[in-house]
Amino acid sequence: MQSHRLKLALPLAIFVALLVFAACSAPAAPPVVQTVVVEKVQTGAPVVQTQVVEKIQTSAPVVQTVVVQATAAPAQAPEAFVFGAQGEPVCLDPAVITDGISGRIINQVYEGLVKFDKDTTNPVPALAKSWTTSDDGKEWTFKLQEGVKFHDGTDFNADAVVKNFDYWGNTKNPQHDAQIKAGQTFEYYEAQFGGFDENSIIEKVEAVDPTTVKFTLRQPQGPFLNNLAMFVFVFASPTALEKYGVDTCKNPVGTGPYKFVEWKPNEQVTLDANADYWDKANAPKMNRVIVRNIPNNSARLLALAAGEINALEGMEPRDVAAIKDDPRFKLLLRPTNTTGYLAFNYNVKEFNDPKVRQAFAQAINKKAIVDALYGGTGLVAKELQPPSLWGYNPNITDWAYDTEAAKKLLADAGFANGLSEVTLNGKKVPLELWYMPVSRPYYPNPKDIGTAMAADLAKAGINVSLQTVDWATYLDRRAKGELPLYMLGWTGDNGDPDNFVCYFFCMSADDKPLSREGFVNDKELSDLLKKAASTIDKAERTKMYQESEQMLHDKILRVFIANNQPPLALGANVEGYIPNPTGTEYFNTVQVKAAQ
Amino acid sequence: MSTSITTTAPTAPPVAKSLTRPPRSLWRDAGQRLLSNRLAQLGMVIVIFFLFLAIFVPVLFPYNPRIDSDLASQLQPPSLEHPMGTDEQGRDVMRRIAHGAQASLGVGIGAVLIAVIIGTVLGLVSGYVGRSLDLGLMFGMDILLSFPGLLLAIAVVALIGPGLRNSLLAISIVSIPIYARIARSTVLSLKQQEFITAAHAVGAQGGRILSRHVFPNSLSPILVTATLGIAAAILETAALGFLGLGQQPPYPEWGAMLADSVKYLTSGAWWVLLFPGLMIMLTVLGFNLLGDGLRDALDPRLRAN
Repeated sequence: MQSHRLKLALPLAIFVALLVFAACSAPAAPPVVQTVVVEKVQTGAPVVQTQVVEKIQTSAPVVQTVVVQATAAPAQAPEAFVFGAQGEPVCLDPAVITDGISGRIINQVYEGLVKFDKDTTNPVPALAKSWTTSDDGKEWTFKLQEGVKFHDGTDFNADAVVKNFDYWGNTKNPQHDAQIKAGQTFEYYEAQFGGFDENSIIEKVEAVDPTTVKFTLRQPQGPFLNNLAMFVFVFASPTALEKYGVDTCKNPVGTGPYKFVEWKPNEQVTLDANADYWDKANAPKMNRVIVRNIPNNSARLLALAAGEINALEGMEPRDVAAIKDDPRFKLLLRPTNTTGYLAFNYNVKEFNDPKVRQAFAQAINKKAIVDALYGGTGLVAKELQPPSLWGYNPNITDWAYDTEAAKKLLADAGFANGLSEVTLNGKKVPLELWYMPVSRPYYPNPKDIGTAMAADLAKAGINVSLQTVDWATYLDRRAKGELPLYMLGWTGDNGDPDNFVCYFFCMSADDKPLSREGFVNDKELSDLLKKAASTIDKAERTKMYQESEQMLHDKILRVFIANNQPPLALGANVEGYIPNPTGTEYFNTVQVKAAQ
Repeated sequence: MSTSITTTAPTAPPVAKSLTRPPRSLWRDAGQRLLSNRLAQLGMVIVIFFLFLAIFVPVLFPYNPRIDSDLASQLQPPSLEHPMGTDEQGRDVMRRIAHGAQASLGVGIGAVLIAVIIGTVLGLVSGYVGRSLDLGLMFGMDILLSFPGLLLAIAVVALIGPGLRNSLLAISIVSIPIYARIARSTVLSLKQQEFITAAHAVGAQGGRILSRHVFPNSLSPILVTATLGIAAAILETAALGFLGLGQQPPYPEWGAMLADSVKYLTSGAWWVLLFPGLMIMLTVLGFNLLGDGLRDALDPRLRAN
């Protein structure tokens, strides 16, 4: 009898919970009463006056009530700025990471020679005061800030710069070797500077005197300064590096505005203000910064509403619109620097026919997807580079959405009865469209977007079956070329077109197709991009990148779906947060004011 | 029918019965008692309604979820045109719920049917043959039983891949030991009874004794457990769908619909959450009420009333 009662109790409990939920959430859809904070008057005396206008919306004429509240004592300004992150940092040693969640913390603790300015990807001085470059672009000389100390008291000087570069790029360096043996990789150094030791574009780094450091490059590199501004090329205290070795992950020591205090796994990372910060003009405004790990989108938003955190990233598209209209929150958008696309695997025989690829490009209604599933922060993409990047080609007209044209193209390509099966490496397989299991800035909800794309494709006679698998396996199977058709995207790291276009469409050094391009074999495009990377003149490079976008468009090597401006939600009392296109902001300008 | 009379003989005093009224079959008797039970009636109505949805809706109102998408009319609240509103793809929620019944009930009933057939055969043979076969089989069943059902189903699906057919398989595998245990316990208690000994004495073979004498006696507990088991299986189907291991998009299934809608918890689109949840709750309730009614109806101690 006991178990029988329980069996009834479970569905009943669900029902009651649903009813309660429905009752709670119903008013959220059509707001009947809206509270708008109109003005905050701060008098010199400790009296804070807040004027609140309550607007009551009814079908009858609008009634306005003005409520003036006066609080006797000023609320205490909070000590800490708490940021709600989407996940756990991987490691706090900048040399061995690639993820933005770690990168955001690293940006507060460490500094490099240059950094990205405010809401742009323009490199501006950080630990380097100024720099000069030789005419052939192979020699760079940086003048360093004086009197800068690491958090452990070690002096920052040219020697520290040399030691850090040696740690990153010299495989014989004992700390480098220890990291490799511990299973870490220096992935970004390899990607941005062409490899290690003799393969690296950086031939040598020398300390000319304590405040001057000279780089000699094997060949000129267009995006060199932008690369140096990335959050991975920042300097750790050489003393600490030696002391902690592979444990630098848990013991970051830099020169930045905030000092590392503790990392509670799966909970939070705590940083304290660096009282001796060298750059008094940009000194930290808060005593403490806490980055909390809240993986669930709804839970993170609820934490913000409850005041447990002051800012967050990653929201359900539908929540974005609600936050925009809610006076308790501020909505900030990062400048677009991200592109979501549908990639073809060129080992699939059918995808080597441009007509088939064009059918895909014309079958998908990008505008409807962007309008409905991006919460108003998305833009329709027609190129790999987002419009904010200087290699973007403004003269390209996107393929028009036209189901009938797509059908006709398919018929011309010999698939009059539609396409449901493809030939992958000589084997017939069902045409699968893989959608990502995680939300990323370029695809805030890959399952919904994939479902919408699949319906558009089916209307044109392309019958895909939707598939997914866990994130690591997804990336791995893609790298092995096992996915015939897949959704993925890219967020720019350093504001250089090279980082977008060449990353995918430059073939290997010996001109072999790479898996991250879906094995596309296009030497013409690859040669153009490689030439652009080793050119210094920006006008010339711009022309080449625009040309490459035209080629990508004409050949339909990929279908670009959307650019997104990833949204950030802040409490109304947070000021000075400057959203950066790279997605990893500096918190020294952020200030949390007393609650209103 | 005559079989039932002979086999039920040991459980009721035959002499007294035949003196007071003409012999009635256990099943007819139980059927009458079931029909007079209010709660069981309600359960039956619910079950029949959803069976109707599952069987006839796909035939009467064909639906192609592959091309069902109208982003322009996404997340509309319930209206005359869309009585249960629309979801994030602009699809009619009511239509998807009606078509989702096939997946939920199909897997629920199908999985239990497979489990009952395999479980009963295993249990009967194991109990009747005894010795090392019994020991080995029941040891295997104990191992299966020692895992929480849903966890084991997730493990099975993880092994053979997600999908509706695979979740049916997983749920049936998880349910097998329950029916094997019931069947075996009936065999063990019946084996010592005189009528089995009598069957032996007249030279009946093992297979005949099992199918004609033992099996019909184990039918009623299995039937009750199976009806309640369908409710559990429907919940498990929904759970697997919720975790993304069951029905794959764009095909409708209640658990998957619920999972797709959880993200609207904070933004007020309650209809995409409420209705699939309500359907799961109602079918589970229906099968539970029916199962409880059946148990009461088939209970021999209540038969005299």
